[in-house]
Amino acid sequence: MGKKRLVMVIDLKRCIGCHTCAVACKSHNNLPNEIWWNQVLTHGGKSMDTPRGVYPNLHMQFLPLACQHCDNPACVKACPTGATYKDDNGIVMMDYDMCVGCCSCILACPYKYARQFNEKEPAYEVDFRVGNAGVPDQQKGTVSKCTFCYTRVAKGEAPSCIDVCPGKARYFGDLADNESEVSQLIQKRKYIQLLTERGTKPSVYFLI
Amino acid sequence: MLRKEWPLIFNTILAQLAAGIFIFLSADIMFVLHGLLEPAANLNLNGTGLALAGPIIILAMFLSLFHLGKPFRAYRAMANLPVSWLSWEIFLSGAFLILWAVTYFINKPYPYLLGITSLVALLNVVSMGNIYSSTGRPGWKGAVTYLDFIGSMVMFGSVASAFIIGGADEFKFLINAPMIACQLILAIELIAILAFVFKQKAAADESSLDQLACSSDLNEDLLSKYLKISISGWFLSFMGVEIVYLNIHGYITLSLLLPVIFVFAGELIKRYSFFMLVGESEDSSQYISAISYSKNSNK
Repeated sequence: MGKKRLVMVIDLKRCIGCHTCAVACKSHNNLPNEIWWNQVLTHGGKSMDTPRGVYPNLHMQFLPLACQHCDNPACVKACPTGATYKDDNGIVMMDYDMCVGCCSCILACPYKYARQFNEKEPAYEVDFRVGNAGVPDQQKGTVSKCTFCYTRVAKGEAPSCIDVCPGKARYFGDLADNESEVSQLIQKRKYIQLLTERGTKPSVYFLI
Repeated sequence: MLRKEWPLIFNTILAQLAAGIFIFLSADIMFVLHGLLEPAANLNLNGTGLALAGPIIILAMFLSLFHLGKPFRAYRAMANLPVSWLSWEIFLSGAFLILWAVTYFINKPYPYLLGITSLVALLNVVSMGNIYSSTGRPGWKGAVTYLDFIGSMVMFGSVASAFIIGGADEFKFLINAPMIACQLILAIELIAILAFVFKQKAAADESSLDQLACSSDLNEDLLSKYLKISISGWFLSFMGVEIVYLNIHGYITLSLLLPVIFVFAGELIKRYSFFMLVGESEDSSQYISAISYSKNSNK
């Protein structure tokens, strides 16, 4: 069997901007208060859920954004320690024990909020650990990011953001398999990838 | 702007200052060595100001530790030499420091040693340029970053060597050519700053998904601030270069320490504006601001 190429497909027509994916990601990965690997952005400004335009001509467009797990990741080339690397399934991973917290991966990554820096000692609203037990603890002074929930993927499950999406806007699978749902969607539907001119070859496809 | 960028602003500026001092003073010494000016058999190398480069690069390397989240893991930062320009920059900074120490303790003007050390210092500045240029961020990509970094090095080296050598007539040719180069660099930099701001302001009117996803959040306010700050820095550097130029041509008589201060301040301000182009997006998350808003309203 050939090498897998795991990708995520997000149907922007089905996304209702409920932020469930962001919350599921945060709890599954036991992320500290200030860290959100997955965010749903809108055009209107920095605040949440703000439309574009001037009343009454307003337009709301949601864009769920996290690490794009690029095929040609700029972050991997920028990292001086090798803490950020690509695994055999095409997932861009982080080794927190190797990370020196230089943030060169953040500077190299063209995608907003894709990588986040744990500036403070990780603090949580609750005093017990939540999420998947196999997920490594966050460390102060290191960078972290979406891992496509690799502990779930290893068990044959989809990332947590896929399962919880109430609008069924998210899909996950192997693009190398022509029969997979993601391959079928990409063949049938019109899609875009973000910032392709940067040459990163992202593994997240947005159906439009 | 990332709060962590302050150590990098000083690290890049000081590394370029050290490289500029070493390269330009070495070049001056080469002229002396080749008998163009005077025999140099008994030249006290450390007395020429070359000794300054070492403490400056040590300070630059020390300050860079403060931008690391895990400073005690810094030794790992050379582990990715095959692909990472940052690894190269750290390696070359260390190599420059070692070579400088050799020249300092030998204290004799061996041309090969001066040449190799100067080359390593230059490559260090080039690898710094590669780190930022390869991010593809607007304002950092292409030749602009190299112009900024190598330009700073040339200006620091030129004014520092003018200050150390002094304004005597027989040394005028060693100062005049670098000053013309500095004026050319400053002219190109001014055009580059204005062209960048004009282009980005035009792009800010678009509202595509790409723009929403882009980490370089350069809004109109940030661009206006960038323009004001970078032009202020540019003007100070321009003043410094012009003071040296007018001095050596006899139009004015001012202390050559003044241009050193002007150019250092100017390049520091320009570097601050360079790091402003990181954008504001990395600093805040919409969720954090929403949570803080809701907590404050519940009080």
